[in-house]
Amino acid sequence: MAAPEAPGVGPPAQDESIIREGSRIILDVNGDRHVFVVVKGRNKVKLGQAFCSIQPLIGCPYGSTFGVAPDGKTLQQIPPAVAADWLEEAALEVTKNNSQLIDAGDANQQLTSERIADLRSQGVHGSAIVEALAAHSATFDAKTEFSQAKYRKKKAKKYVITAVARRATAAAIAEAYFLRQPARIGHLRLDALALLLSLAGLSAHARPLVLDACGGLVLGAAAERLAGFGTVTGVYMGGAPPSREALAQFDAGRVQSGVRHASLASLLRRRPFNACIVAAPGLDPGAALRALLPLLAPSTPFAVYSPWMQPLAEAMHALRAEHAAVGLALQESWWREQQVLPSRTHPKMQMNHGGGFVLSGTTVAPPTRSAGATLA
Amino acid sequence: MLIHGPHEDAPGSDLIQEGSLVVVYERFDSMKAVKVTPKGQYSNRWGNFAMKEWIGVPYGSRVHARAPDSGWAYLLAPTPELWTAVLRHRTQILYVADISMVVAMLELRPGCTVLESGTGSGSLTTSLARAVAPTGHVYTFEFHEQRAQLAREDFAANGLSDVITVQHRNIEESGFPSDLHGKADGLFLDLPGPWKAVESAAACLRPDGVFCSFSPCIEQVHRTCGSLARSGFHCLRTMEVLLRSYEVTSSGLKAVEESVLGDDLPSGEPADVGGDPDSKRAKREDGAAPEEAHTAASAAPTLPSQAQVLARPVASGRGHTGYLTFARLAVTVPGPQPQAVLVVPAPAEGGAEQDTA
Repeated sequence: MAAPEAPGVGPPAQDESIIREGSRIILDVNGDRHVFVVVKGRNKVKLGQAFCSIQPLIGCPYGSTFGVAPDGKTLQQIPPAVAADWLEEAALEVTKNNSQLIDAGDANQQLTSERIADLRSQGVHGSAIVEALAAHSATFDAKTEFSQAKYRKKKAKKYVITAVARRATAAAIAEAYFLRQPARIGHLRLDALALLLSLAGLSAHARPLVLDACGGLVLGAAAERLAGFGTVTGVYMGGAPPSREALAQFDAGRVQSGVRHASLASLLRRRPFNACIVAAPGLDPGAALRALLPLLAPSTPFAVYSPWMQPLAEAMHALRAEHAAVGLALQESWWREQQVLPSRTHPKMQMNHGGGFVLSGTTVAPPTRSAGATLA
Repeated sequence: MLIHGPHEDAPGSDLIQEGSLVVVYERFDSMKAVKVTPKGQYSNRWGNFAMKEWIGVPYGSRVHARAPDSGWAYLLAPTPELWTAVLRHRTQILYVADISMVVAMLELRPGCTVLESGTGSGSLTTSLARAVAPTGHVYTFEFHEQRAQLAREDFAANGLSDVITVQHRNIEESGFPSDLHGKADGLFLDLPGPWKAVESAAACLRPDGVFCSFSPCIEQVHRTCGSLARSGFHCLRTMEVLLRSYEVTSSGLKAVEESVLGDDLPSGEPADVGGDPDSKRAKREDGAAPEEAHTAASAAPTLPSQAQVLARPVASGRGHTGYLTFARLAVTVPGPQPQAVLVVPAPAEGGAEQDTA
């Protein structure tokens, strides 16, 4: 390869790829539930019915897959869950239909819950229970092949647990919060967060000013982008900074030490900032911008998030009238996931409709200041 | 420089200098990237500008055309987002919604190594470089030789050569170079046949590294997902992201009482909508509300309507750019395998039929 000096190439620092005592991680359970885990001492994590000690996580690389051992209570590293649907070369063909299917509810299942509990206490693995359920279902054979696959998946969610140990990155933390407690992060969805970070130009050596009332998620995500090359200034209005609980979920000490909290008043004589994010749904964005714009250098990109459109529209209207910024745009983020499977590809049935709104622009110098200098 | 760096700590770095790259902003849909030279001239429909007057003014300043023209423009510091808006299109490019999602989902941060193919016009490449600089690196591969050369020149001119290496190479045919095997934290494909490069991608990514492919067509996505599942990837996700833009105006809306009263007005003139000149103009174009009627309406006992800020979606916009498919390179279990080998059916919801069970 042409590049003799490849500064980015090299093994990662040893401590970066392995889960250690004291690490904060996220367990992605069956791809739809995210659990914050502090890998420490005698902490336990609940997977399905089981309360498991976190000790087996220690020493495993990030990205490892875990299941519950046959004893029903021990976390165990297992091979990654492979999407079985793709392993068969031929795509599923529909050879049946559901015209004979009768919805009799529980009566269609001849495997009793007592018998299932019995199997589990004998240490029978969840995947075997799923097969037993299919075999004892009066309707399984009559289902279409697609429906059979769906049946297995539904049962597997209950009886087979696979959890992937994820690094606590901004993306993972944002999704974990959004799925479980969106109000704690001001309903800031990952796509909107990603947009804020891009539009405001967050990167190493930037001097960002961040007003975050989304649990500190934006502060943490901003500090992750700086990675210690500079500091993120978290400004707060009023007496004390708001909740920072999401910031505390970031693993890297560098992320948390990369954030400095400051009251608005303390920033007035500082060197101007050159990147700015406002993510404080409870504050009037126009008023917040009026307070923060004087702290920004001319030509600073800024981005403002709100779950509501109207306050941003009014802020945009005011900025335009004051000629305080150019390139103003008010946009709504839309995000849809697809199910991609052989012969069964379609948009997901459930989607979240609350992407939030982002107002962005670039500050400019007041016209008078530069006009005199250039019209000589 | 298109991205932030330690050079900004030097005094005067916030001022435009000879050789600086500036984005001349005329309107939101009219911008141009310009290199400042002492003898340079910049001309647009508003007038002629002498670049020597730009040297020494802060970024973000308004500059004026030479007399007799009275035009003006803003000089902005370049950013990857502005660059995306002004760059010369050699190919279809990625825009900010997709770019933001790619950078976030690849979990890029300074120090990461990221691979990309093809380079295209360098829109995404520039954002990748910003995300991994100053200690990381972008290796980008383009199968069109001239495009690779032009991209290399762009990156050099924008001060990104330390962060980006461009190589002319057909990744679908030859895969990524073997000296990059096991080195990548993230990898991005925008190729006609991305599935052909999946095996090579698996070889290049570190365990738990993130793969992304951008494809306009679902058939491409389908084949790529099949390859990913067979090449040691897990956590597959396919998605679309779009931005809907809103147009913001100010206008007065009539209160209901006012409309009712309007019916009683002489000659049936509608009541004045108030402050906004735009709406008055719109009315005159409709042939209604001449000036005399204006007075008559004001004299009538109408409720005053106040101007309010209104937003509506811009009528035409993108309905589709491409599907983003993400996957993580799975971590395998060291040593003897545990007894229970799991094969979990991939998440399947919905389906082509109604499930009555």
